[in-house]
Amino acid sequence: MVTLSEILWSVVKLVIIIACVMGALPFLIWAERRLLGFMQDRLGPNRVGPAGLLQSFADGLKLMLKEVIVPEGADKFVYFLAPMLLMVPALCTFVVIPFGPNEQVVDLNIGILYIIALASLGVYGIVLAGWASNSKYALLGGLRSAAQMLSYELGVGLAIVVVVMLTGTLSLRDIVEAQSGPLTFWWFGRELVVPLLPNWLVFKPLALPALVMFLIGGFAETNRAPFDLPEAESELVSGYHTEYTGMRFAMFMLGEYVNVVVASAMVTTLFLGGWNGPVFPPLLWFIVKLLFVLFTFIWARATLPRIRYDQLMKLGWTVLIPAGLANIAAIALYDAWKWNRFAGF
Amino acid sequence: MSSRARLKGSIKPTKEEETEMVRDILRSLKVTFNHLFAEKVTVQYPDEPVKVSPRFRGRHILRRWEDGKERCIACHLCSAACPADAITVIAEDNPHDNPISRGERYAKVYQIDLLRCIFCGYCEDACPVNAIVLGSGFEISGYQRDDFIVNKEDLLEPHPNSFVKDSFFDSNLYDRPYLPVPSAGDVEALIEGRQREIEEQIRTAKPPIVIRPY
Repeated sequence: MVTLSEILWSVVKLVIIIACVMGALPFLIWAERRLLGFMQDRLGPNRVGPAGLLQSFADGLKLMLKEVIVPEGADKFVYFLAPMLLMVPALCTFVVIPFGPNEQVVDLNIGILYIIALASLGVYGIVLAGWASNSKYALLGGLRSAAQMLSYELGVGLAIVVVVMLTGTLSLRDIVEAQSGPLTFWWFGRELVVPLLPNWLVFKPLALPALVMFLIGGFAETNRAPFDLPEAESELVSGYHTEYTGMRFAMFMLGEYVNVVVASAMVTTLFLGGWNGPVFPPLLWFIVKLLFVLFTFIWARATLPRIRYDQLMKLGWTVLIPAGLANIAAIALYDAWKWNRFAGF
Repeated sequence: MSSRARLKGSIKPTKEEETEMVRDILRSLKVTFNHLFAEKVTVQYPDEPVKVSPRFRGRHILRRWEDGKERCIACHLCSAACPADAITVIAEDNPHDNPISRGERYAKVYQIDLLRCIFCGYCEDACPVNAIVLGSGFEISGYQRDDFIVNKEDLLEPHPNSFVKDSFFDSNLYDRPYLPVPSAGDVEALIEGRQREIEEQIRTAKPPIVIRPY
């Protein structure tokens, strides 16, 4: 039975986590702009507040004061619904992300499936925004995004299957706990323990392709460079949110960054051992790893040019999915070998 | 891959091209990472000064000799050389007891209309005593057109003994090594020589330089 106090406690935790994430987003945007600047030998925004830290707040204020424009012929209801459809599922995923052993709102036993489901829902926001705007650029951006996210969901899904096979659970908390302790391999019926290295999936050769796939798929699913075709500004003005102004545009922007945080948190949880780590408190470990993955996102954006649409599709369907299947097959063989030994064959 | 497929515009990369791609991605990641710590090229202008080339032609400066005497001897060569007719000089004889310049005369009025000036540097070339030079100052702005008519007081270098410091008059920025600095005794001869040169130039110039009244 779930008691009232448990529900209240969950709500409090949820509010705190969402408040922290939303509070950190302006600084994430600032960090991204500054890092991009540094990588391009510029300084980036550094005038508003100390080191430009308040830049995003100034931008937010500006966006709030902007007029809300609804294009002629737009489907008003869907047009206003779309930003929320992007934002809300993205925020909902924070319910299951294990920031620490006690910092998880609820540990669903199908946590990973929940996240995949919500990530798929996010596509609706983008597609509906493109469709409801009554604009060719928005429509093209929305369609591209739909195709892109559907294609890469498969690759990401296969990468997640690899993790599930290695850890034997769908619960995010159990996945993190499976990665505690020193690095352990099964080899010819023996447990090989590698001292000094933690048991995170990054250090397991069988999970490494999955990590690369998950990262590439993560870039694509969050519509970020080098896969930012849905908002390719050089050809589509700014894609699905071309017609949005003011806070509605801000919601798309924030939704994108929430998605980036979710994807980074997933990489941290699935591959980098979540909150596991020596000496420091678990929450700190999680945040440090999260920041590291976020840096990777920004780094990739600063480095890689946007790829062509056919290259994007080709990479998704002919590279990621076969690679994922091969990875799964390899783990299946390894497991079969391992369990046969245990069964005495 | 056959050349025929290439000619047909196939986009399928070869095996080598594929491995090259992955290597290039890693290499470019390294490049951006190194640039993260590289020196930034941004000049935060109003807070930091902008460095200009020594050959930069900014606002004019009227120079002094080391003893504080004005260099300008009001020979009018600069205003004659000026293609934009921006320089007005009115000469007056030096007082005998306390000469202001080292020549016979000094400039009672030395006025430059910066709205006419095209910063060509001909005045600098014409000056026999290197009195007028184009400095490094480029922050020339004003609220009305009158602000751009600058007089001798605005243009003259501070006296060597004065405490006034003005970045406009940072001599490091306008002392050009390729300009000969004449000694005091050569001044008269220099004026004559340069006057002849300029006259010669005016005579032989095609089309002739038309000197219009101000």
